[in-house]
Amino acid sequence: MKTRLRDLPRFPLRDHGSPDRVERIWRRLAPEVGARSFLARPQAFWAPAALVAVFGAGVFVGARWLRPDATPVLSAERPALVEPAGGQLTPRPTASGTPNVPPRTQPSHRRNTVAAPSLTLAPVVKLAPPVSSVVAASPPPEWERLAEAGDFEAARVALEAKGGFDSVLGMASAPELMTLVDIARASGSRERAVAALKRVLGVFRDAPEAPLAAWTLGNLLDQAGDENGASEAYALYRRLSPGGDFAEDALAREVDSALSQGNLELSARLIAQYENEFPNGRSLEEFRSELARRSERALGTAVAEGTPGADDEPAPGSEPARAEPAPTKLRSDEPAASAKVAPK
Amino acid sequence: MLRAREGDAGATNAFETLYRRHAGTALNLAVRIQGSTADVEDIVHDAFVRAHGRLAELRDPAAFRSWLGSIVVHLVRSRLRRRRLVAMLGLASPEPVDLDAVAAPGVDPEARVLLAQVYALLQTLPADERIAWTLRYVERHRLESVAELVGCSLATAKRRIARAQGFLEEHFVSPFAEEEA
Repeated sequence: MKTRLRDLPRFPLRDHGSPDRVERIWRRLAPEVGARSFLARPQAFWAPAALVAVFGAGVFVGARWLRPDATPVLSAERPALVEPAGGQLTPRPTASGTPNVPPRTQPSHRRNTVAAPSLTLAPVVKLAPPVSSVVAASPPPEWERLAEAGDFEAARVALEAKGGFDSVLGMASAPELMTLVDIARASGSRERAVAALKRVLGVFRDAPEAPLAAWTLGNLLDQAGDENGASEAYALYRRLSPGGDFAEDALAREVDSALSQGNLELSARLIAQYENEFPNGRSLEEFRSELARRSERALGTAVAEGTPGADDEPAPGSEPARAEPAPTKLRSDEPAASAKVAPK
Repeated sequence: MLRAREGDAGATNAFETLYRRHAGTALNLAVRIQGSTADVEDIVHDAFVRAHGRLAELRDPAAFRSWLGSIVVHLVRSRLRRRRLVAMLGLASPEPVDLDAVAAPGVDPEARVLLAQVYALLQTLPADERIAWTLRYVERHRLESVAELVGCSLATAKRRIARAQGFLEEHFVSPFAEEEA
C-alpha cells in the first residue's frame, strides 16, 4: 500500500552533542586551530625581522655613502684646489687663519680633489606636518559599529535615530551599504536589502563590494521568486568577478532559472558554457539529465499535440519553450537532449 | 565572532566558544543525513578546521550556524558519494542505517519501523536528493534554509526534494497497511 510521507510524524531525534564527544573533538581540533591562528598572521611574525633588516640597511647605506654633514646649508665660499708640495693635500687656511680640518674622514674618492669648504650652519626651519595627516579619521556611525559587532537589532534602532534606513541609504558608501544590507536582512526587510544592493551596483559598481552585492542580490531575488531578476544578478556577478568564489554557483543558478522557466534554448547554451568553464562542475551531470528529460517531454508533447513543444513548468507569461538541439558537448548517450522539435 | 577571526590566542578562545556552541548541531546534522554515526567526529572536526580557515570570508557573523551547516553538508555529501562508489566497485558493503543513532531512545516501535524503511529507501537515492529530503522532512528546515545548506538555488532544492518525495511515495509500503485496511 502506498502512503504519503509528506506528513512524516515528528519523532524525537537523538542528540549527539554530548559533552564528552564535543570535548574529544576539541582536543583534536585545538592544536590545529591554534597553529593556524599563529600562521594566519605571518606579518606579525615577520614584521619585527623586516623592521630590523630595513633599519640595518639604512644604517649601512648611510655610513657607507652619505656624508653625515651634508644636510647643513653651506655658505657661499668657493672651495679651492690646493696643491701642496710633496703631493700631500693640506687644508687651505680660512680667513681666520686657522686650518679648516674636516671633522671626519672623507671617502677617498672625494678627498683628493676638493678642499673642504668652510661651513656655516644656517638655522633649520622645522616644517609643521601637513594638516591632512593630523586630522583623525572620524569614527564609524553608531549603527555601523553595532552591526559590525553583530547586534543588528540595536543597529536598526540606532539607524532609526539617524533618520532611518532610507535617509542613510542615499549618503552611504559601498561598505556602509553592505552593512545596511545586513541590518535589513536581519530585520526581515528583503525589500530594503534589495534596495541597498541595487544602489551598490548602480553607484559603486567598481567597488570591491560590488561582486558580493550582485551575488547576494541574486540570492534574495531568487528567494523572492523573481527568477529573471536573480538570473540577471548572477550574470552580473560573473561579469564583475569572472574567477570569483561563486562564479560556478552563479552560472549554475542561471541554469536552474532557465530550466525552471522551461527555456530549453537558454538552458542548453548555459549548460554548454558551464561545461566549458567548469568541466568538473558539481551540477554538470544533473543539468545534463534534467535538460535531456525536459527535452524529451517537450518532444513528446509536440508529437502528441502536433504543436510546438512546451515545457512542463512554463513560467507565467513566458514564451513556449523551444527545444533546441542540445549543445554538441553533451554526452551522446542522452538522445533526448539532441532531439529536434519544430520551432514555433 | 569578529574576535575569532583575528588570529591570536584570544581568537583561539573565541573560536572555542563558537565551536562549543555549534558542535552539537553539526554532529546531529551529520548523523541524521548519513543515518549513522560513522565518521561523524571526523566530519565535524574537518568542518571546523575549514570554517576556521575561511572565517574571514564570512561577512555576516549571524550566519555562522548555517554557513557551518553548509560545510558539514558538503563533507557528508562527499563521504556518501565516496562510500557509494566504493560499494559499487564491490570494495565495501553499503553502510547500514543505525536507527538508534537517529531516533531518540523513547521513540515508539511503529515510528522506528517507519523510519527504518524511509532511511533504507533514502540510501538508494542520489546523495543530493537524499540530503535535501532529509533536511526538509527529518531536520525540518525551511525550503530556503535547505537551499542555503546544500548550496543550490531554491528551485533546485525544491526539485531534489520533489524527486526524493516521489520516489519514497512510490516505494514506501506502510508497515501497518493491513491494520489500516
